[in-house]
Amino acid sequence: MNYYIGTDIGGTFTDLVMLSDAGEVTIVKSPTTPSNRTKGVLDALELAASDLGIDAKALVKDLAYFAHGTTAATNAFIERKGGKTGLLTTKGFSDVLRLQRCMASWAGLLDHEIAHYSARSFPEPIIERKLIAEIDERVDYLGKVIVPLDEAAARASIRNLVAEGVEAIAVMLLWSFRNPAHEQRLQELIKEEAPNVFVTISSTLIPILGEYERVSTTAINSYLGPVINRYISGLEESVRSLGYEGPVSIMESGGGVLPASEAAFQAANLLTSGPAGGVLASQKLGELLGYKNIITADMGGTSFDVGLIVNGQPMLQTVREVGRFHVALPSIKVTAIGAGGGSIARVKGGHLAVGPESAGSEPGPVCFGRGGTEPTITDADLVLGIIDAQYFLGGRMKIDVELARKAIEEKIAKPLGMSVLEAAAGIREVANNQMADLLRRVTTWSGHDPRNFALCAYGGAGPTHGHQYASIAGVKTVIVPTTASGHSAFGTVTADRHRSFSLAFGERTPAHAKRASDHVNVKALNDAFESLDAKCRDALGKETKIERLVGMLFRQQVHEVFVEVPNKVLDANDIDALVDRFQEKYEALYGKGSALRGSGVEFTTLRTEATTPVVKPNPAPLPLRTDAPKPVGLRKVFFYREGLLDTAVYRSGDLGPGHKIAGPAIIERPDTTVVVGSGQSLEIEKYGNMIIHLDAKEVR
Amino acid sequence: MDDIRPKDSLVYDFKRTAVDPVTFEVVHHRLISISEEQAATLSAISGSPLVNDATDFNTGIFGADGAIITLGKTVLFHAASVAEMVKHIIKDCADSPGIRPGDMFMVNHPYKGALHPPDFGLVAPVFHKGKLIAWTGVCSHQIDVGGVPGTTATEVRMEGILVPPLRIVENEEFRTDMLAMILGASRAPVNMNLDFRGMMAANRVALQRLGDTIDQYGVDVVMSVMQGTIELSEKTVRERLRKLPDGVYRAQTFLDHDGVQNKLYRIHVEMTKKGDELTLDFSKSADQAPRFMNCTESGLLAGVRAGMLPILAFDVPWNEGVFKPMKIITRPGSIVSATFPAPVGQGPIGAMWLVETTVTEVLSKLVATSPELIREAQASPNGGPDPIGFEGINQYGEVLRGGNFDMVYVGGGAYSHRDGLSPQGHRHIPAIRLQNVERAENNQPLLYLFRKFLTDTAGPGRNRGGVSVGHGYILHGVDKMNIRFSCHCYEAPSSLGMFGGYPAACNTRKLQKNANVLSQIEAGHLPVDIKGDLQSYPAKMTQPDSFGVNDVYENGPSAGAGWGDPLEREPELVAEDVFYELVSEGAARDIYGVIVTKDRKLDEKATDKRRADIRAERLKWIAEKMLSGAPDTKAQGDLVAIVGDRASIQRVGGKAYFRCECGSCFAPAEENWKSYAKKALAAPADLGPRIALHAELEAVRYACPSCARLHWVEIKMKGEAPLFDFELRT
Repeated sequence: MNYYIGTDIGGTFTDLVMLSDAGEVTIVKSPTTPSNRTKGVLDALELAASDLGIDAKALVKDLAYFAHGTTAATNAFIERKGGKTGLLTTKGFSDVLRLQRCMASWAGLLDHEIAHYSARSFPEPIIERKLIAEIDERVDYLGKVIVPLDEAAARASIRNLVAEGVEAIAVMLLWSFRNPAHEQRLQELIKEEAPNVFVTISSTLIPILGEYERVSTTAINSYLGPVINRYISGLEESVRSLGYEGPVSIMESGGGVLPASEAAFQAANLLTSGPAGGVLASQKLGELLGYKNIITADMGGTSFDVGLIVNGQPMLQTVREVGRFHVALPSIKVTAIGAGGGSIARVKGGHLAVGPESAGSEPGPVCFGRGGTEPTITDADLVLGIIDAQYFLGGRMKIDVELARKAIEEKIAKPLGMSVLEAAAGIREVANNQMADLLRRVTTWSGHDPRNFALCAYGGAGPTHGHQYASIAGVKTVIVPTTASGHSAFGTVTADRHRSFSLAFGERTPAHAKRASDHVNVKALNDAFESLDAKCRDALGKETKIERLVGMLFRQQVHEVFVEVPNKVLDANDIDALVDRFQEKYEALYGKGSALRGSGVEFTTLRTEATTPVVKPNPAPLPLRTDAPKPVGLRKVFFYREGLLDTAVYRSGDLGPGHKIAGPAIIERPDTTVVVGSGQSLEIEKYGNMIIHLDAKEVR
Repeated sequence: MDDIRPKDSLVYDFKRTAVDPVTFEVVHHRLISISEEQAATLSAISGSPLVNDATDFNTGIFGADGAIITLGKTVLFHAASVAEMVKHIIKDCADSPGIRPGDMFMVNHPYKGALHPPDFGLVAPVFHKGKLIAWTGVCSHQIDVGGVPGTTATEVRMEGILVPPLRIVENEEFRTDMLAMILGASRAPVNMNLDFRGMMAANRVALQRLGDTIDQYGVDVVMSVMQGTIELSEKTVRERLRKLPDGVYRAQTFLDHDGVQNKLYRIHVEMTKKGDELTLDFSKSADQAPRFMNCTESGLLAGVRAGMLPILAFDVPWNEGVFKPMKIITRPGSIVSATFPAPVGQGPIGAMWLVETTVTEVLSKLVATSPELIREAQASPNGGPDPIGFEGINQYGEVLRGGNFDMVYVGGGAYSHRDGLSPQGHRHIPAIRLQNVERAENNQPLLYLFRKFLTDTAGPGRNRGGVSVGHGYILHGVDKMNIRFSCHCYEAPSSLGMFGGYPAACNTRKLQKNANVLSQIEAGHLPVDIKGDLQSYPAKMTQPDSFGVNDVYENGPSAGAGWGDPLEREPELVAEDVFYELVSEGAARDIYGVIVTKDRKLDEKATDKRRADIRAERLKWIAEKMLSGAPDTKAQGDLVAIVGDRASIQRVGGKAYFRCECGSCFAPAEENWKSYAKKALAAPADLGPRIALHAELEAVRYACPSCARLHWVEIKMKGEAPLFDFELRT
């Protein structure tokens, strides 16, 4: 029997999902060990082995694949625990990284923080000012050298940085994506002067237009490089020391996994890869169950993260904010608000507000009894009877309903003159509506209608609230995956190998051009795609599946839209077809008539996405149940506006494919509690995932 | 403008119902989310950099009478635009042509709610069962609305097409004939058309979503929540005001050059604070100017609101309630309340800008009397932008018009607890995104030599202002173009410090012709010491100048002003600023009293001596009056109010005094303390190398007669009495 393991390190738990050739899915959780994260992974491996009645060494003998997702890069960046890094940049532009296109004082802040001017501040810098050296050189917008590279001065600058003790150097020169010669020469000089220093040059990592995004991404990659290198080789050694010889893959944020050896040099690509794992897992699940349009909704302890899968593909973004700087590597787009089980409810100005402040995991909700005094969403769920104090995390964690009740009474119910139950239901109602508003925002802002999507609810608190926030947003179907509490880990083991390469192109048509092909150099386009394809094949092998994309915009407009490009030698007609396709897609996204074709079109960026499937088993269908589902009991649960309802309670272990349950009902799982509201129904599909039909009339 | 209400027969008479706190929060969040969705719809369809990157637009929901219910956090000036348009629509259109379901109204007339002609609003009434319940609207800045070059317009009718409230949408569709007429006046009709479509779609989204919300919760509940959110914000602001000392607070500044003459225009505010109400009186402001820097009453309101929101409403929902405790008195025919047909094209970066500045200053003075709120007080943001205009042909052979946003890269004002932000960008744009140099060079025939923090732009102070960013460029790919400049804060510093903080730099331009740039580049190096024939320009140009291949332009924007006596700034911080060339050695020595070594490290001993010398020098200054029988510096006093963080009004032995932190009660509180301070005129160079002073202006420094602490630096008209800033009711 072969096993395939995916692991994901979260803030509180390290999750492990194990697939077997027989299609069995095992999920285990072990506490995260922040001082040495690898230990948590090995602990989880031991737990998975003991589930099979063997030890980790024995399990590793049958281990065919090991994948890993980690917050190591994100944490190291947010806490600014990267290596001492220097920067070489074009003379006259050493302030670009600090200026952040004038976003420095607000990037990464929430709306209410932005409005509070006096409290605004700057992010902790990535690179100290004295470690930024200006290089005498200049290339223009056509890639022509205006001022040659002053090698002697550059060498002296490199020596200075090395003398200052830098572990890493980033190189970003203006227009290097049009002509990388100066950056490449600087890389050689650094290698000569300091062979052990970690180097990233912008024209290799991210050859796109925009010096700020390039310098920020390049600087972050260098800053994290040494740390991530050590982390990944440490992890790999640990797994190898158990005798594992198979591939080790690391989750990246762009839509797949990288070989460990490569991930070590792609630190910026590992940022925010955790949420990406959940979206990829939802994509795979969607393929299995036949859903092409999915809203992914991860509700954990502190935040509610929403992603989109449209027509089977995760929605990407080209720039994202991390740790108050920007990374311009294509990544799976996830939008978050501060709404999770630990979100705090408060009375403000006589009204009830929930979040964005969170009690986090320490002290956590009041009911955890760890000193929390502010009532949270989890406390409300407990008081309402939705969560059973005796069966929280399958009964493994003791929580105190009385503490929660008192806190809600004191802090919410009394000041508002409501009963405790009404107050608790109010907290839930406010939170669910905020989440629904975010679902609408994410879908409508990208030109989609939430009614055309199924929603995949995961994370510890997701299935508890999904039936309501999804319903408010107009969604009709909620999927609660079997892997709800380890969905990101599931994503790491099911994800394909993936690499993405971009190249700034910049060919443009004049205003009111009749045919784009009269103005765009088709040979240059073919050559550029050839070179990108070659990079893909180098990275992932000859057989890799390559998707070509071109990013285009209407000149004078800001929205860049990526259009699929056929995998062949393009001719003039193809160019014109691309422009038509661009306009079509633009109008589909931004509305009929929104295309400003008269201003001309710019082919901004070429991109290839290469994927090579990783061989792994699909889950096996579970036996169909012909009996009626049996509840373990009936309890009074308080629902907003409905009051106390007699609610059937089921245990997931008693249920199987074919079972249908009408709401109101609660299904308790060892990892989460699933709620089905009045007028809704739930069915278990053949792989054990739960499908909630929010509108009873919609049941197929 | 006076309160205008639509006729009762048109308006739904809603029943105020008690809404439970849960529903209240849910519906309120929904209303805010509708405005956000409106904004997203506009951004998506418009695609314009003005909407998407500069956020020069706004969306919102308004009551039947125009009261603001929700307001997007975009350009703060727009806190007045759409709401004022609604009032004019009611006034002009209610009887004829009428206001019906399915209608939308377009306005850009600056005397009918718009801030200046480029700001086009599209506003839709919201009906429920045939009765008006609310309005929803969008306003966005257009690239071109026709008209002549700004400085040459002598009346608003020359500044572009003027659209009074016009019922351009009927039965939910544009009247294509009217649309064609308006688009026909623009030199960028395609872009304008897109923005209009975006505005229409944004209003449709809001109408649809408001309808859904009403269907779900009932019209009376939704309207009660609308009313409730306004009351909630009003209550918070009033409670905040009630805790502050009553009195009269004043601020003023000067706008230089009117496009014809280098004349000064005063912008003056006298604010009376009583109980939980504020009255802002602008009557002493100058008469309106002959050219485009005026603002209308809507513009005045916009400037006041922009000044006020971040100081008094930083933590409450932005809606009408925030503004209710505030009354404005103004004089028609003045530069801040111009009368038709005075030109107002540059109002937002002219008079309106300085209204924001003076209101920021006067409200900062007010909150600086409270230990609880002093954190919200700030020195002036940059004095005003100096935009550049290009005219010519670009490197692709296409027509080049317009400019860039380089002048937005400016530092912010200093606070009592921190330096100004470097950079902050314009204060009234909470979240701005500026262009990369590579994007600029891709679109315009320029080669940038630098984008970097400039030396001595920031106003010195114990906390210094935010530093501004300068740009230098030459032509690239073409051999000529025309350029134009027009600004204020050129010879009248209008970024003013607080409590001894210095003003920030004036706008400077360094355009050198026949410079040595190309020769250095040909020799293989980026130019270091740029020399050429320095051109001089008036603040506002009526004719363009040429810009050729051997010419180089360097902009030098104003920045954020300082807070507190510069001699009290940590010497290490000053030395660091010198090291990184944010402050020159000369300014460090003469303004901060900080001496650095040859390798630009702090020389502590020399610094101590230098600071002692400067203080000794200040004690030689002359005070106008001297208080006889002042209490002992150690006398116990009862605090009446703090005045900034280094002085206060205290009652000692039954009398109220202005008292420095050193203990000296040097002035009676009922008089202007400045008359009792040691004072000295400052030459422009004393204030920094980038300061210029108009012939009619003077700069006066006021210091404590006892400890020599600098308490204020004032820019005023020669021969006038010092401004009585803090006239507290003691």
